[in-house]
Amino acid sequence: MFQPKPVPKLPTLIKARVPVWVLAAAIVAQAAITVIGKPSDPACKINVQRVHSSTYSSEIKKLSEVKVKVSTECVIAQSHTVFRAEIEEITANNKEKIVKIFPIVIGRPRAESPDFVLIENLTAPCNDPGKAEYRGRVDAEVHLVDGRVIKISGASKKSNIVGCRISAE
Amino acid sequence: MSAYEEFLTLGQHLHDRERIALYQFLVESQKARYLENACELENTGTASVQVADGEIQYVLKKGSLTYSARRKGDSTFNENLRQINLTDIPYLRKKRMLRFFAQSEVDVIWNFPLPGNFPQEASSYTINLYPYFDLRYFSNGKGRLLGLLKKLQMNNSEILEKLRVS
Repeated sequence: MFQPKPVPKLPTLIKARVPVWVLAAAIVAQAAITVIGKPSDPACKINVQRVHSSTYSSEIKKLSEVKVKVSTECVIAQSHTVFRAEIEEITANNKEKIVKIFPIVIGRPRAESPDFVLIENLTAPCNDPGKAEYRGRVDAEVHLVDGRVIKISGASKKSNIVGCRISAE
Repeated sequence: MSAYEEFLTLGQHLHDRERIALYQFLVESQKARYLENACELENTGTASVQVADGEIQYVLKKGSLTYSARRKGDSTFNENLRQINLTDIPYLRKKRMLRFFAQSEVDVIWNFPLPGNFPQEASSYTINLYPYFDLRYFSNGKGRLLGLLKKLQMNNSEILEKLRVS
């Protein structure tokens, strides 16, 4: 009776000569080396607070002003952050109009928190009558101590209605 | 309390227009002291001054002038907070140094005010990217020509007058 000769499914040439578990271990080891060797991600985040009326200005200086605070925080120490900040008004048809552009400022971290920069004093006169809805918007360049520059942007999470209006610049 | 004394206590509550007026006031009223500082720098390469609640240390090296600052009593300086390059032309060199001194003092008054009635929050050391003697300050970095036009339109004579009478 005819008996077919068994044919090997894989040619001898491509048969694995290394056990599979050794191969798997090598791949895992390579991946681990790649992850450990990579510098930590210098992610920075920006926080733009809500635009609000300045209590100090109204109570002490008798001035009507709005204020916005901004900060940046990174996973490693920073040398300084350059802030380009503006306030935009949300108009009745839900469009945005820039009403105040602040001079560009640099903030340097304090020794006790080298990864964090906070700018407190972005204020704008708000003398026109009526109410308006405002939001802060900031472009920042974070200069890390290792020389890298991280560009980040942010805006107030929520716009805020204040009881005065900023005259558009 | 004079307007100048009050400005020394305002710190982060000093508005930009007040800081510009303060800068102009310092340039015109502190000329003699600044000339002494300039002389000291040319002779020794370093000079120190105290203003408001801060200390400033100037270093002049190879035509580059920098300042470092700290709050009085702090152990370490915030290094190289500003830097300018100086020309070898004596008149222009001196003029630029004087302006740099005034700018540095405004920065320090802004960040390290004298204790007063105005609460200060724990802000970072903040300065304008462009100093007031750079026309790009007035255009927010959009060129010197536009800066000149904006500077000519600026009017802060009222605040400056308050400082002058103090």
